Amino acid sequence: MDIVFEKVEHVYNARSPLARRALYDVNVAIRSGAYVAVVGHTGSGKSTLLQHLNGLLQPTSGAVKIGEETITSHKRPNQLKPLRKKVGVVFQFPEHQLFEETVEKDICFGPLNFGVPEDEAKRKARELIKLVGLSEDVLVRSPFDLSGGQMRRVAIAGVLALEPEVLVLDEPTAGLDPRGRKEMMEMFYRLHREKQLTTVLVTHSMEDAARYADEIIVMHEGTVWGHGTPEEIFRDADKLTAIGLSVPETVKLKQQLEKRFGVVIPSPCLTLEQTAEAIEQLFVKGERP
Amino acid sequence: MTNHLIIGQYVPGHSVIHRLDPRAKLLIVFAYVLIVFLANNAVTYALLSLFAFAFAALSRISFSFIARGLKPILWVVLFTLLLHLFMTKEGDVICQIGPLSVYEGGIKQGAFISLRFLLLVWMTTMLTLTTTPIEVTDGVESLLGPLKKMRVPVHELALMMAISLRFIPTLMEETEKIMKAQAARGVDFSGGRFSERMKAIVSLLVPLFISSFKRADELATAMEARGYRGGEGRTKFRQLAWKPVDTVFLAAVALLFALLCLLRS
Ligand SMILES: Nc1ncnc2c1ncn2[C@@H]1O[C@H](COP(=O)(O)OP(=O)(O)OP(=O)(O)O)[C@@H](O)[C@H]1O
Ligand SMILES: [Mg+2]
Repeated sequence: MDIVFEKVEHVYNARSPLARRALYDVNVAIRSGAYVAVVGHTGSGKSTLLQHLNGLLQPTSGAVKIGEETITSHKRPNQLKPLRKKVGVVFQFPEHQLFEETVEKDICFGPLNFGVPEDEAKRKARELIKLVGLSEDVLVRSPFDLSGGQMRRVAIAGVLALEPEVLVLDEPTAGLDPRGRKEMMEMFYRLHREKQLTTVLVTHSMEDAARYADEIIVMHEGTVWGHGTPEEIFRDADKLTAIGLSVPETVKLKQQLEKRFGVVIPSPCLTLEQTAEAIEQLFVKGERP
Repeated sequence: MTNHLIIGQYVPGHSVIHRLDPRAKLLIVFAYVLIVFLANNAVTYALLSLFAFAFAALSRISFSFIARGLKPILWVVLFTLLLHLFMTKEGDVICQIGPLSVYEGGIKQGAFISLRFLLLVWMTTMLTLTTTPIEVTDGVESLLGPLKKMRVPVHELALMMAISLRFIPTLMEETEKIMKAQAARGVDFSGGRFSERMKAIVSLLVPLFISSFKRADELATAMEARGYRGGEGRTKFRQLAWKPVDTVFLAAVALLFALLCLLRS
């Protein structure tokens, strides 16, 4: 599903003294099947942007087009449920949404709401619990007996169980241990490719954005500051630093090397592998000092 | 979803009303709530309304905002109005609707009682709109201070109040967040069959309770960790200061009281 934002503005508590403009003049297109990372300083409007993707928030002006549906300030589809089935959202700290007696029931909750038969939902729960890196015997436990990280995984499984076409992730790995983070990110990437999902990931990790995303949207103070491939976005480190962001460590390393040795490294050095290769090239070419 | 509920909210500002001593504001509103019951004819109600309007105007908060905030209680007002309209049998019959007849007294009673209710909510809303929860509690604690001698745990009561007030917005935010998360999982909070509605409510309340308990626990730990030991010998960062303007406002209420006594029938 293609997603298009046209002149989207969102004001919280509109028409009251507490009004607060969280988004303005957002024009952005996300093509079907893309992996898009949304980065930006805290409070820049990332979460607000995401909630427009499945009609949880309506723009106060402008329009959001999601596939066939168009959502504007005065019009939204009478039936939001089909849209919510297609667009799965993992919120910031999704563990707060758990409520059932057992993990299995909680994972099945979403699918059952959308009319999936019970045995089918249960089968899916068994499959997903392994996918998110937990063992099957967790299924019969209460979600409230689990650790924070385990709860997070269960909540994510609960959203994946909807089998959405568009997967929206709001800082899904915040607070996980390094290995858990890597596993999770790899898992999302695998799903993205295997199921041809459209993935929108909000992250504070420039490394993750560089490694996984096809495109990066940079939010700044409520509007889109930049939109491009990781290579384009991370080309100008100073500008990013000025709005409170940074470039991946590997890009910093590349810049240091270029400065020290007075060479130009053609590779964008977005991942460790690319960087290692670029350094190898330096040695092979014999350009080392 | 919770956007239009403004009772208990604070709107930052620098108006005279905002800057009044919280004790003065508490006394004004408390006195007002009492003397509202003195009014019993058009003149006295007009006076009370005038006072409420003037108070709101001085606060520089827009009337339309306050009016919108009163919307949720409108049906209660309407219900009272209708009840009085049909139940009071005084004066001449004005009109007849089927078996029900509306008397002149009914119209008067209904209008007065509804107005009284609106004025009560209006003034208490003004208090919370222009006073931070912290100020309210400081004010209450200070006003109830003399009761400490009678071993009333004033400080503890004030603290309880402060904590509850402080967490109302948090709870609302949390409610909205969880509702959104469950809506994304296909819960429909606006309709559906009874069993579906029950499920929707459970999916909201369980996480809400759990996070509230957790928060209470964390708060208690944090307070202990910072050496909180109750009110004994505790000094205050914000000192309340009574200014001449506070006296002026109290005098205005006293005047209102006197006028009401004179003009009521
Ligand atoms: N429910 C709400 N009511 C009022 N204002 C809100 C609400 N949610 C967010 N805001 C405001 O909108 C702005 C953008 O918030 P948003 O949550 O979209 O930021 P964010 O980019 O996701 O930040 P973070 O990285 O901290 O998650 C902020 O100024 C915030 O205060
Ligand atoms: Mg956010």
